[in-house]
Amino acid sequence: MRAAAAATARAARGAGWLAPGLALVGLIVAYPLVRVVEWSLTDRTTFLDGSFVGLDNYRQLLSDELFWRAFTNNLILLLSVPLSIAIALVVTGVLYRGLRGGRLYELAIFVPFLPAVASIAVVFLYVLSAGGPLNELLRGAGAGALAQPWLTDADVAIWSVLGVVLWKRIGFTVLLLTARMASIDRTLLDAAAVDGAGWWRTYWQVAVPGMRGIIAFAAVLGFIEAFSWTFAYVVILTRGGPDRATYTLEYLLYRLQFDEQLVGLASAVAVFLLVAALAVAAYRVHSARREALL
Amino acid sequence: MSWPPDSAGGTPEPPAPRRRPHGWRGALGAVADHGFLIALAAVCLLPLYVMLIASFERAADFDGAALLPTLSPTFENYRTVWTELGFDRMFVNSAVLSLSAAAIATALAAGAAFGFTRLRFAGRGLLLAGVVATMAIPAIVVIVPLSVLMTDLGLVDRLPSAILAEAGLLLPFAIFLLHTYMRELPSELFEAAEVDGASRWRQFREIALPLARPALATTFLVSAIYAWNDLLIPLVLWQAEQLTTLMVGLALLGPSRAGTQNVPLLMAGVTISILPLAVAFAVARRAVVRGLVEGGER
Repeated sequence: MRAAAAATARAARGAGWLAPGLALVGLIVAYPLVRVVEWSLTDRTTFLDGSFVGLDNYRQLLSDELFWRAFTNNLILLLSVPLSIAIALVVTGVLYRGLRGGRLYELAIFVPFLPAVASIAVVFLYVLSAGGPLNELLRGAGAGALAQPWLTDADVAIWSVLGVVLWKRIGFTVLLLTARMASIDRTLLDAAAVDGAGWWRTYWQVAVPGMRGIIAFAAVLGFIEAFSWTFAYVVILTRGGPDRATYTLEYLLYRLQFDEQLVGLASAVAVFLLVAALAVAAYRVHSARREALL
Repeated sequence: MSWPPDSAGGTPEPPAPRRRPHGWRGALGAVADHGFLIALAAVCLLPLYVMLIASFERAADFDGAALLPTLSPTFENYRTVWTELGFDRMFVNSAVLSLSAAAIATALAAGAAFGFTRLRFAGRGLLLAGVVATMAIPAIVVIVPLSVLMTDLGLVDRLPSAILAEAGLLLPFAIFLLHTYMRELPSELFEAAEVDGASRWRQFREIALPLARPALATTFLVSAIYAWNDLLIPLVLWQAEQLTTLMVGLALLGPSRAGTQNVPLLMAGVTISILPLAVAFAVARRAVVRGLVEGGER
């Protein structure tokens, strides 16, 4: 009895410190999460509460060609993850091979990560326009045949978006890898070098395995970005066009909710994105546990 | 991996120069290394370079692309977007959103992180795991019920809606960042204070907060950057024209005004939207980088 009362008292004291923060998270994140799952099972619209329709919304999405195109586009943007990791591995290898001015290069490569996606997207709206700097550069370099309407050709546009996502992502990935590389024991690298192994072999066999954890971290962050944060790119660069060729799931959700007022259907799209987010959540909890941060 | 990495200043200690093979092979290798990095750095900087030089072009003379700085630069575009396209008001709105959301998130996170580190109570581990899991939930997943909720509360197009939403979405990250810092503070300090009869509140105010100041600064700064950069929340919750933020303004103006004549104007507007970040980065590079690395892109 007494122990239980003491435990309750302890819990109450803890609650005092946590309550304000957790209440706000509850209101802004937890409550909407419950609601989005609930609404995904109804035919709710902005104007009508709607009624329970079971899995109809999911069925409708899965048989909708636009849903699959959006999903495929998310997968295409996901390519920025392996690509940025591959490029960052090479950059880190070159930086650590020993050359002057490494810091300056790293700073230059990091710069794209700082501005907002919205700012960057407007810059690329100009850079990639038909008569814009990129095509001018190509023509000036005698590669005019490569010049094209980067954002207005239905076959090219999503790849252009991928280019912009990748451009913004590389610096961040380089930063993660070099930060980890700095804590790898140099004597190991040097010992391997003494054995006569070339730098790239040493790097691959000694340093890269030591970076496995941080590469996984970069991959997980990249995964959630490709399935959660493509909205600002798409809404500014292409508005889903031309001819709805660059819809992603986030943009589809936005259009369903705010243009077509189909709350139930938009919620079902959100639940798909939630599943991706939960996979990342599980990873973050797992790795925080491993590092004894919990 | 150790986290946050101490060397994450954007720039780890420069690697000690390795011994390269001497002679022409070594020289060739160095040239190739520099060539590769210069090419990559150029790709990273060129878009921002063309943005800057276009922003100083005279709109009337602009013909679609400028690769070299104009010989007759003008500040006219900055003046026009600032005074005529409403970027002055948008700048203030972005600042209000960013600073108040960051202040709320940091203040509430400080209390919660203190509770998580200094108190042992039932369900603590589970709650903390919940906080970490919530870090992975993006705004787009909750935006549908959130917009309905704010409508029901009558808060759409009023200041608290986007500020509270932004703060709530940033909080899990802020709690986690402060928790990882506060748990490293020596517990002897708190135990000694406890013996002296100091209340929890005094321990919080006089020991935890002063010692955690660097982490508080990082949390505030990075939260402010995220809120400054966000598009979705203010786009949905602050639809009234007098509440337009810079990012929303760019998203609305950009695609509709991308015509040749307007490029210099737009680029001036984008430059304004990036400027405060550049200042923050110049002043507090280590804190910015460390926090951004922990939070990821959003």
